[in-house]
Amino acid sequence: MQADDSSQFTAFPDLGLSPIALSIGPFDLRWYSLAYLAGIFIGYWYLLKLIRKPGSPMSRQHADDLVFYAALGIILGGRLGYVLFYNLAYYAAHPIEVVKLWDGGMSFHGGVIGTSLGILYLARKEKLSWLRIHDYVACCVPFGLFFGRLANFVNQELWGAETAVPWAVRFQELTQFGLALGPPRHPSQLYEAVLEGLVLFAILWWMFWKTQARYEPGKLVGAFIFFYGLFRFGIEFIREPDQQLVAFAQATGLHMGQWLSVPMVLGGLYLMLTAKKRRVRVEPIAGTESVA
Amino acid sequence: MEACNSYYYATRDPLGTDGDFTTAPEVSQMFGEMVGAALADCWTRAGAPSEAIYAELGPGRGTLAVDALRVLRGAGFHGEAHLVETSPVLREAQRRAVPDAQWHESIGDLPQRPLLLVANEFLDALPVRQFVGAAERRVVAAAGGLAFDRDGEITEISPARDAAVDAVARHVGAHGGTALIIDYGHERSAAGDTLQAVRSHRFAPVLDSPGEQDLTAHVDFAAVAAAAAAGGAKVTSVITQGEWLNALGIGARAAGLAAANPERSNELASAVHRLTSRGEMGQLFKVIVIHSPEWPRPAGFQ
Repeated sequence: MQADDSSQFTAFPDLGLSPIALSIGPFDLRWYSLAYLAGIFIGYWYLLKLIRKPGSPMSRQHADDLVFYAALGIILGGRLGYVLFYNLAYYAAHPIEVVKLWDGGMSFHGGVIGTSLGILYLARKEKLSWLRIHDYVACCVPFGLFFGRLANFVNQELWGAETAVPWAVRFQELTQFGLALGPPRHPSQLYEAVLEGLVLFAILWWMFWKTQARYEPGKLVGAFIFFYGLFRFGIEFIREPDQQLVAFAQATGLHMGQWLSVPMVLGGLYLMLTAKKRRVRVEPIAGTESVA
Repeated sequence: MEACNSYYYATRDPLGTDGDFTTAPEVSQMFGEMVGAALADCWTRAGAPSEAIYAELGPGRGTLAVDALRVLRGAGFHGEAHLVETSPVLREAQRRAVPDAQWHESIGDLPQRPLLLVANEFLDALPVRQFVGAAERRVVAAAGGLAFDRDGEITEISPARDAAVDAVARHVGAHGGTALIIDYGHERSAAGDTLQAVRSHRFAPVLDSPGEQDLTAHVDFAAVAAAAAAGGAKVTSVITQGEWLNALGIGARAAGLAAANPERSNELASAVHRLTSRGEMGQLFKVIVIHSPEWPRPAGFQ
């Protein structure tokens, strides 16, 4: 019965998608790597558009340097975050595996922290406003999130809960019998691509180009954190808690991912609401000698 | 009114104790410094564009320009000064104050670059037209001088002001920048005759001695805002000069000056009072800013 019910849903292998975009000899170029590259390059291109508007916290030269530090931060932070947060025991036993980036495994939060540290380093070195650079970079991040979530889908990872919605997808799942077609599930990676990619971009685009938000330090990055947290909170409703956290979710009423989103929502809200007061004022610096 | 004022300003320096009237920049250097600080704030936050210029409409003796530019230079602004002035006498006075400035006949002649513009008591001297009902009130020759041809409830419009504001708004809309408009007048349009003449610091009958006294009319800030909005620029709310100067920190500036020059603290306190208090210039004078949508909203406004 189960098989009959499930057969009406899209089976992932029928979509004809492969995690590998291009094979050149022994070298496989994965969509996942391309997503990072595309996210960084398109983000860079967009950042150059942003800084051409009046009010930029950095020059073109700073932006060029920034992309280098941000890319470094994304890769190192993302990888370290994955090693530390998700698989510490494994990597402690096999330290050489840490550098095997091509095996996949990157953490969004680690990437964010790495990028942030890159910005802080540049701002400190060049005496720029670190918060305002965060504002500008936040506007550019949704590109990477969009491509990254699409890559998650192609990789058949981070899927949603079981469901019977017409657009449900059956992924190939690892069972005790090996790789087999699983139950129909929410393609939550695609929902996230839309929310964290398209919707988040549209919100920040509107705030940057149509309002005075970029003149209020912390407002754009606050909005980014707030909406990202909000979307993650919502998406968790159609995700299953990790095996080891089922009891925790039942005891607290919310998934671990939702509890982790709460500080983001609150912190983002705080940054947004206090942004107006945060701007630097120019004091009358005429000197005190002359009195006319 | 236009003919009278252009003769009037072309033939004299009307400012100061020997002249007919005094303006805020002549009261204290702090006024010009606050203007400079407001412009420096906008310019810095806009990313300190090096191509921006300082511009002033009706710069008087150049006192405001000197004080404002001192603050702007201190904030790292090295742009040129462009003054819009038609009177040769006042141009000469301005040349002594700001020797490296460039002069222009009209707003349209300003270079096509971002503006840090101030117009203090400029619009009030532009001509108004008065109407009684639908009929325009005109000046006619009468026995023993000039007279108005009709009286009644008067409404005023000023196409000349609207044109000036529109030119400023189009300029900052197209090329960027911010424009401070400071003048006496009212926030909302209302009926009433505001045409006035001032001579030797006293009001005089408006039709006496044409070309020998300063003719002005109160500025209708609602009309200014409407004229500016048509030009693709953003317009702030209208606030009083007192609110504006206090928001910019004139009190702190006066305290700083008084600390360095204790013997002048009374003079400084009375200048602050004159510029900001309700009974003096603080309430009657209003400030509105027209700025590029790309530029930050200036401090002190909603």
